[in-house]
Amino acid sequence: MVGIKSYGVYIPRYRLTGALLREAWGSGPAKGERALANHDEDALTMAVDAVENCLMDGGVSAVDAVYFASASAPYLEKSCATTIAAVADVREDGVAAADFGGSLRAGTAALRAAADAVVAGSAREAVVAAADCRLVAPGHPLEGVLGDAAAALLISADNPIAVINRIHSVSAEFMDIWRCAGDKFLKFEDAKFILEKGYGAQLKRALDGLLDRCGLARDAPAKVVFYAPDAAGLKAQTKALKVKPEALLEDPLLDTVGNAGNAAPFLALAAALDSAEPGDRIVMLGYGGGADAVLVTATEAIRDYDNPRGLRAHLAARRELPAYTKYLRFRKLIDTEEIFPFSPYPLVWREQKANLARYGKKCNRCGTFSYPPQRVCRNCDAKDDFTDEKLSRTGKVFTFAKDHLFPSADPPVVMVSADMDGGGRLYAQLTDAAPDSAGVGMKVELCFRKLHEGGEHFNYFWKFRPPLIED
Amino acid sequence: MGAPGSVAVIGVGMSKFGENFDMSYTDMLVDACCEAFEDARVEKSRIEAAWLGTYLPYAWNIEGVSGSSLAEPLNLFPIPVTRVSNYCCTGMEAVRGAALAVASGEYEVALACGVEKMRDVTSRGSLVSQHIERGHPYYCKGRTAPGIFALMATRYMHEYGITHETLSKVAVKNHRNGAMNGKAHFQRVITMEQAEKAPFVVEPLRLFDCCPTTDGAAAAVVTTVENAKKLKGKDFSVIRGMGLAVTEGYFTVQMTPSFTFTGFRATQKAAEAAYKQAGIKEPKKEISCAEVHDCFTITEILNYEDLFLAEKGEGWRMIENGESALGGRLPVNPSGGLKSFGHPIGASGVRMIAEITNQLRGRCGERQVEGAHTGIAHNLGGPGAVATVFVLGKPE
Repeated sequence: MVGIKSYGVYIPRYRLTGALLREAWGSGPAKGERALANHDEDALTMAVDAVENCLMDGGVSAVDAVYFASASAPYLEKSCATTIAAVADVREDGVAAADFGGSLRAGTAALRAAADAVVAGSAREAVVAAADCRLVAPGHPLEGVLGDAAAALLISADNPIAVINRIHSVSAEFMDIWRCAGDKFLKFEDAKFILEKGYGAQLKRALDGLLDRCGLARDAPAKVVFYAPDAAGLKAQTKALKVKPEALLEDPLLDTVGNAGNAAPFLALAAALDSAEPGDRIVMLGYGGGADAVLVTATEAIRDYDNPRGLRAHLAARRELPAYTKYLRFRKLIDTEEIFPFSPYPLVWREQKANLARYGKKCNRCGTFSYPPQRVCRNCDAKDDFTDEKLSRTGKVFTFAKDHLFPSADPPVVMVSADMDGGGRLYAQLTDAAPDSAGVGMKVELCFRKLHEGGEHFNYFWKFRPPLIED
Repeated sequence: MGAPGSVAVIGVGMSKFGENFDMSYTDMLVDACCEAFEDARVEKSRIEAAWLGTYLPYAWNIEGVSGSSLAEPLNLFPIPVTRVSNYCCTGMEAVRGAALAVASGEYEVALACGVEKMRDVTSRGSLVSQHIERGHPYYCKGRTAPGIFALMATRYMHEYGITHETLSKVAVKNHRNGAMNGKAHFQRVITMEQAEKAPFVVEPLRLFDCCPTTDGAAAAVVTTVENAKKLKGKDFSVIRGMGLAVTEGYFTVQMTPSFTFTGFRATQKAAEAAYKQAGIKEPKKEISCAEVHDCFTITEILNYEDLFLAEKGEGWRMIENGESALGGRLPVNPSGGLKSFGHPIGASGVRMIAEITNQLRGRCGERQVEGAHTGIAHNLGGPGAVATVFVLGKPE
């Protein structure tokens, strides 16, 4: 049976609070908060984090497909799925990497494609990552409602924790939210019109169609989770779908994460799976130009499933954005100093095994580990006699400095030289941390982030951050 | 034939150091070289070969790419001129090239000149942008020159328990010395309070912990000791030892697990080599003054230890108890150092050798180190990657 073997989420640490928005604009409710991608994050980096949290250091040798879904991918033309595959260390040959976009239904479309591929046998396992980091014009009421986040699923026939029973799709031509090529901000149709003829109508058609085809009664699912644009939409849809109260999520994540676009139904599914018992049926509804309804049933395997880097840990690791102007800088909504470092692509390509998948070299003669890779061993002079070995993701700060010179959207840049667990030392930026929290001996973990836009492309590399889970 | 003891510095010169908005690269070069010719009492036509040190040509101008940048403004044709670059050791690398050439017997009189024009752009646009925009696109993005030394300061303070005040004392001392030097970039004393309250550049380093971005040129004429005696009697210095060491540094040192962040192996190795050539066995006792690479205040403290002028972990005591001040046991940076003299990269090493030469000749006026008989000059570059040490002495 094909289903979900593991799932992962990623919620950025920063929270943009209603109180801060009210302070900035003098209007709007001073309550709630939304997850906010840091200045060095985008849909791709968040997806990488979610995929890592999904794979949980498990092997990727059976992964034959990597799908990335987003309505806010950093590139309009250039695959992000291949970057995710390279970072996750998925081999190149025999792997289908694909990008799904253009709609809020890209995520569930990718899930459908992945499930179909595993069912058809064209992929043994498939990774699906959905992420969004969408923008409205500053001051727009949805500024405090849209949230940035990512989620990932590993689809497999190998002992899934939840079987995918059926996916039912409704495809309808409809304008509700859009962004033309070149637009920075989302555009919207009339909210009431959308609720009545778009979102409200189409989600119901998808759910009804799914239950009908599966021969299930409306109250059969233990949980019904669905995309909701905002609190009003959630309320209206709950009523329209006639979902029993106990089938709703206790926390629909709108006041904590916000409307996370393509990641939203996956985050809701993760919340439902977190508390699912074997045999529980869960319906997940995605929306955008129609709707997708997915029915999954938890298996016995879910009893033993434990992912410490899950929703709860991400919701707990929050840091309030101290000033609205920082948000403007993070999203480049105001002009600030820009840097254009040298970054010739042949160099980037040549070194991707070291820089994306974090491979260093371990000397076959003396065991010395080098990162970045060396050709002549620093310890014993052996030449080209190494075995590839990964730099670990965790380490401890040996020394650090807070740089007020290096241009940043979130100064000062805290530079850290840390001894990595398992060998090697890395010198890189510390992100997601209050500068004053840095110290010698501090534990850190690596995260994949956007460094700069030199060479007129996005340059991603690793940074340190405080561990998601404190000891 | 070896260089130690056989090569002399017979004339030195330098341009005004500072923000020389009204001077070009060649203006400064001509000032420095012509002053050195005059001081050496040699005609320009006596120069048989020359070395030009400029760290970063092409960043802002084409000057300094090749030896022609020295030959053209001086009309010094068609002798061989070699341009060298070796991070912040560039200036001493020029002197080293000239000294080795004289020692080899190939030439009798040679010129070394270091020039750097840094302030045709903002100080932020010069070295800072080098670190930000050049170099590897990923490794160490976020590093700046003060950022590297701030890592050292954090670790040194962590290990030995000193506070920032000790660093400020280095700045106060070097400003006091620079105030007695008419060619220094900064010629004013500063107070402890000013240093302690200055804004952060890269924490824990504050503004007065950092050397400025400076324009300048310095030159030295070298010849055989035999010839020096004929030309100058006893008014010259003798190169008794030279050491250049290359170790891991720049991008790799912060990623090397064995790196302590409390000292630079390059300096230690260069010092060992130079002291051996000079026959110096107890540097603490045998050296009477030193010009060391104080690009940042913490560096001066590390240098005390790396140059074996203080025990490991004890360098900070030299500044705390006044040993390195003028009038102290071993005055360090009587010129004012990079801290107040400024640090035009290619020029600094030559300028330091000029200062020691003048100290040994007793020509330093109110900043003269009394009884100076043996001095060292030290450059450190590409944090930890390269270091040069010169031991200079008086003629017998």
